[in-house]
Amino acid sequence: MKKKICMLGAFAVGKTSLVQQFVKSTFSEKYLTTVGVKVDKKEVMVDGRDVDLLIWDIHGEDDIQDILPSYLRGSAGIILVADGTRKETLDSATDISKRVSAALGTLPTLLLLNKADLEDDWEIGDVTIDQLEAQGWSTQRTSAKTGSGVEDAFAILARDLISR
Amino acid sequence: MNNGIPNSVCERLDALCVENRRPAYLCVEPDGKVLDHGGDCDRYGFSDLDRSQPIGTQLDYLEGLLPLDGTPLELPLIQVMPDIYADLHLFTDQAGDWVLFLDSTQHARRIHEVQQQSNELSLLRREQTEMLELIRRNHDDMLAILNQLNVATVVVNAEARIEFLSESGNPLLPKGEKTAIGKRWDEMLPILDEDKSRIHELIARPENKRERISVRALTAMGRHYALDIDVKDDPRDEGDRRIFYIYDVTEVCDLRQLLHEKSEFEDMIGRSDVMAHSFQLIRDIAKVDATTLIEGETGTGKELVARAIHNSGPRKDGPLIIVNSAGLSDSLINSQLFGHKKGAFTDASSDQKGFFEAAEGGTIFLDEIGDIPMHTQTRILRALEQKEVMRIGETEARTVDARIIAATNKDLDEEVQNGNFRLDLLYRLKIARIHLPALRERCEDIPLLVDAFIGQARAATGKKISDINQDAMQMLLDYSWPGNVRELKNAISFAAIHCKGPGINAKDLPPEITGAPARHSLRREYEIDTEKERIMNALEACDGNRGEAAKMLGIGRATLYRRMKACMIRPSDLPKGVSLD
Repeated sequence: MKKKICMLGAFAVGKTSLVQQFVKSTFSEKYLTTVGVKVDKKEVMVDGRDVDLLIWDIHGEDDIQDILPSYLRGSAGIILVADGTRKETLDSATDISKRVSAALGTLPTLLLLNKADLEDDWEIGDVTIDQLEAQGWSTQRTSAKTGSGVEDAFAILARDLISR
Repeated sequence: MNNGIPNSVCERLDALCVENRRPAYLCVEPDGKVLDHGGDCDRYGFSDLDRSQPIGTQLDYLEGLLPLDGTPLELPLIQVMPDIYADLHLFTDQAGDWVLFLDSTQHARRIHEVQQQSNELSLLRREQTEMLELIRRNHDDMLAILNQLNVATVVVNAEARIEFLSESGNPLLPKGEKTAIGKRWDEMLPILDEDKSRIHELIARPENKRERISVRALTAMGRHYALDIDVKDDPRDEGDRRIFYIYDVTEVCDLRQLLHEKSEFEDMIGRSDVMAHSFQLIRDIAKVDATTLIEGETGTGKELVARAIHNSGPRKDGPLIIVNSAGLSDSLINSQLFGHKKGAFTDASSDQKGFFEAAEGGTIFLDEIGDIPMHTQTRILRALEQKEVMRIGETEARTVDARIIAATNKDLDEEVQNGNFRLDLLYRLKIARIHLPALRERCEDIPLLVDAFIGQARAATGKKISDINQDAMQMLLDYSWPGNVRELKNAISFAAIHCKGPGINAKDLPPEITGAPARHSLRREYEIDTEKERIMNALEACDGNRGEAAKMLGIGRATLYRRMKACMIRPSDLPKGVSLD
């Protein structure tokens, strides 16, 4: 079973690093901006079933590059990424989510709060996260640097995809 | 077909107006199997497609995109190979779904270059904003701390102009001055001129040669400050900027003054001519060892003068024995002054040294000497003339070496004429004579005294009292001060206890001052028959404690005794349940 999932979020939140950590178990401190789309694939086993996740790592949204709706075609699920140390990236993530819903309808979505290794510097507090979950968001704290929560995040979304 | 490229692809390429984009194409059947492919397939990594397999299993990025629903789809900048980007154009015709590949690697590189710089700049700008916010918060915290520390900080530039002044330095500024920035520090800070010169000298020295200096300041509002000043180089600047750290040590100085009040000649306060004359006289008399008579009304500071003479004279390392003669019986004062032999009288259970002997090598101060009985005056005269005393009950005289300073608020010449005081003793006593002026004779000293007493009250009560308002000061200037400086000091202490804010108002002053008529009538009021009632009331309020009652009335204990005697107040006159201590 193949499932396309799209990684979306503001620039420099760690989307590419999360994919690299998940697919290749590597991490680089060097920041390299993503242009366009990179597609990676990883097979995961969920509840005894093999699932090929086709991960579309889409460039971060910023002043230069808009996320095109055509990139989202055929997506089974969405991973939104916010940087815990930059509160405004959470606003970007929620804004992108609204636009995705308007274009494709409601898709299984997981919100990753990345850079958990820098939690002392986080601007997104527990109260905010509790409020998001109360509003129906599924959230997961991750660290692309340490790998913490990364496997779990993709497994959670994959389980959601095959259960539908 | 055009050079092997299907017409539909050629038409699409024409429509897109592209050149040199190394096109490749593939055509997919509705079941996902590849019908045809061609062009620069190697560039995009699909030259050897398996036509029996669905395209999605061979090119991951096409999974889920096909079959199209008839609507063309454009996917720019898809990374199809590790270093190859392509713009994908998907469209449909009768043959099937077509995927046209156009190379966009160069375009992606250019975007990457711009995007990388833009994003890094954004991140850097955010970091700088955070840093600036942190610096601003630290700056605010530091200012708040500075303002709480009673340390005024002044940054001055090479032209001696102020570039920064902490809020805590504002009270030092001239009245009505809104800002000191840009103005010369030596025009803004109300420091005495000689102290300003010292600071200028400090500035000129290298930092390791500068020491903290103490200066006095007097603001336009009349507030006195004792300040310690450190002058440091601005560590951020290698030029001539200096930072003054100004510590307000007024309270410490007030406390120190309070502690030393009874031992320092300089604690007698006054700038008037009469006081300047008195000070000079005290200095002159202190140098010699002569018997001295101090005259002055109650509360003028006779004991302070005696202490000053003793402490400034050659006997300063010896004892100073203070004897208050008022209210003591003849036999008691004789015993106290000259001592007694065991068994000399009923209660003489042991040999007892007298005050004259106790003052050996030092000074004996006989306060209220005008109240000493004639018999005792004779014995004092002998002690003066022959430097000898004889204990009661003994027949042998003992040599004593003590300087005698006496004080009185009576006119001793008149007492001599009335037969109450020995003329020969008066002659012996007034070898050196100091007359202390009443406070009403030196009204110009009242503001100075008030300022000093406010400082003492501030130290004693811990209240942040800084000044006295004009109405209250006028009342103090109008009052006649029968109890002189002591009464003024008590009035300020009273006001300090009652005042609610940083300044003493008229309503805080004792009622006898606020309700007082003009000076000439007050003096009379103090002497009329109501005095007996006032003393009785004070004694009753203090449960018969004469020391406390004297304080309440603003007079000395000895004066109280004398006035009680003059008013013929007896213990039996006091209300039931009140007895004298």
